[in-house]
Amino acid sequence: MALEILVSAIIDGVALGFIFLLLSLGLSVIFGLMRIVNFAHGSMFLWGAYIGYEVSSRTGNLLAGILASASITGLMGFLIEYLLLKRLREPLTQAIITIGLMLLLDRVAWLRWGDITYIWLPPELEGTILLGPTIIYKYRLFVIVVGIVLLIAVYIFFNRTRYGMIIRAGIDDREMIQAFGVNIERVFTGIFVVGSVLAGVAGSILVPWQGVYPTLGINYLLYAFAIVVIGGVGSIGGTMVASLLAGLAQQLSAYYAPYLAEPSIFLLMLAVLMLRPSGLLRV
Amino acid sequence: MLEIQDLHAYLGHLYVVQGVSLRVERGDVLFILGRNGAGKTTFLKTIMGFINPSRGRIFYEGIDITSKPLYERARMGIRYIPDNRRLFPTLTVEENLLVGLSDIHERKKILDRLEYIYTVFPDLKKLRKLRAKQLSGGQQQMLNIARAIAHPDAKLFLIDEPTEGLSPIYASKIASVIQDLVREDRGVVIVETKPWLMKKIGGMYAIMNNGKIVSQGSVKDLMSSRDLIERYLGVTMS
Repeated sequence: MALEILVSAIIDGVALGFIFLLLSLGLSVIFGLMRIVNFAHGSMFLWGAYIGYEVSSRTGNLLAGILASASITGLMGFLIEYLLLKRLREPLTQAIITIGLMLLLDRVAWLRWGDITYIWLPPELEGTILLGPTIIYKYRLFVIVVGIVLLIAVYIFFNRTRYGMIIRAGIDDREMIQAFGVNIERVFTGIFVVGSVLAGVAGSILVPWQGVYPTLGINYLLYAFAIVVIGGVGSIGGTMVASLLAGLAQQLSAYYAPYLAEPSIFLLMLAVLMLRPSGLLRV
Repeated sequence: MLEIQDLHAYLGHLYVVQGVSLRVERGDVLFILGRNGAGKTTFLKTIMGFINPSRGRIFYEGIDITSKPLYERARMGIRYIPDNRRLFPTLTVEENLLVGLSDIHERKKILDRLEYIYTVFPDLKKLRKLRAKQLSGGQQQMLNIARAIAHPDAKLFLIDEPTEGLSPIYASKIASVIQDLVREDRGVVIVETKPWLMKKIGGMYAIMNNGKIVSQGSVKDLMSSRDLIERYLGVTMS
């Protein structure tokens, strides 16, 4: 019995870890490269979740919902960067603008969708399967498969493409990269859009599992901040490891000590910072 | 290829470059000399575009680049080689070189340029998979220069104290790389105060003092003026 619970908790933890990864990666890279503490990132997650719910539930197609979330949050990210942040490069001003955007976007979402929790699960991913004596939810396995595919894609993007290399170089020294002909402003806009898309996709993938409700964005934004700190600010590898650890910490505590589920990620952060003050993998 | 007209620049509130005018032609080497704090590095950084001048004009290949951003100047073929290296520490040696070639899309051309760099700096080929932060000081300086000369269209090099803190073997290697650049008809502006290096490379000099050019001429003439060397370079000639 104990082993089956542990296996379930680990599977759920890994699934949640992949959702954290999609959310946190954008936050980490946006901070690492642009030095923006993007408080609006959670709102992209929230809007991605609502749009994913609306499109998936109407079309009966989860993929359509994910693609719609990606497109709309990508467009929102583009507009925010291009119209607002590009013109105001002072870090404190940018942080305050993103706080304002978070309040505005979350409020608009609340006006549109209200206090209700929405959830829609595609029929083919409903139910459970048995792995020996362990009961596993089909959708959570699906999240793991999608997460692995996206993880590989992200790894290839950052380590095997010219754009990924430029982003990593920019995180190291964003002034010097321009001395080699790179228009950093374009890279900023690109990375802000990619980060917003990843957050939106993460939100749309979470809906069939945990649903979407008005405070989802701010809750997950706080988790994502903790994950970025655990991993080492701006470190892509660190964010990957920290996301999986955070998913496991939250789900293991949800199974074994539910009162610790909420603060578990922050406790993990405190523990990591006591041992390694600059995070697991400092840039 | 480079013409500076009455350039003035500030570093924060500090008035550092106070009206400098200079010319550099293709195949020229211009040594910028002067004591610490004379404004040499700020001058190079202003030409590259890291610092906006408060007054004056910069012409490159006949085009006024004074208001062009840093990345556009780099695309036009200007390269800056900083004294503190500023490599991309988490990238491998080869990736650092590739950043310098990031606007080239033909794979063969990229491989040719890498091969060229590895011919000039054979040590870097052996180290190509290491991260830049794992290299020794001398190796890092090799990479600093290699990354700047990697691009075939780079024509003007602004080099800040390339041999500072290096062993004689590395310093001599760097001197011969600079000589090659000159032979290939490229322009070099170099902040360096080592008399042996100046003698080896030759060319022109300009001495900066308190942000102004106080003396200029050929390196050959400078080497025969004990007074100038002792006064502005802080070197005692024996």
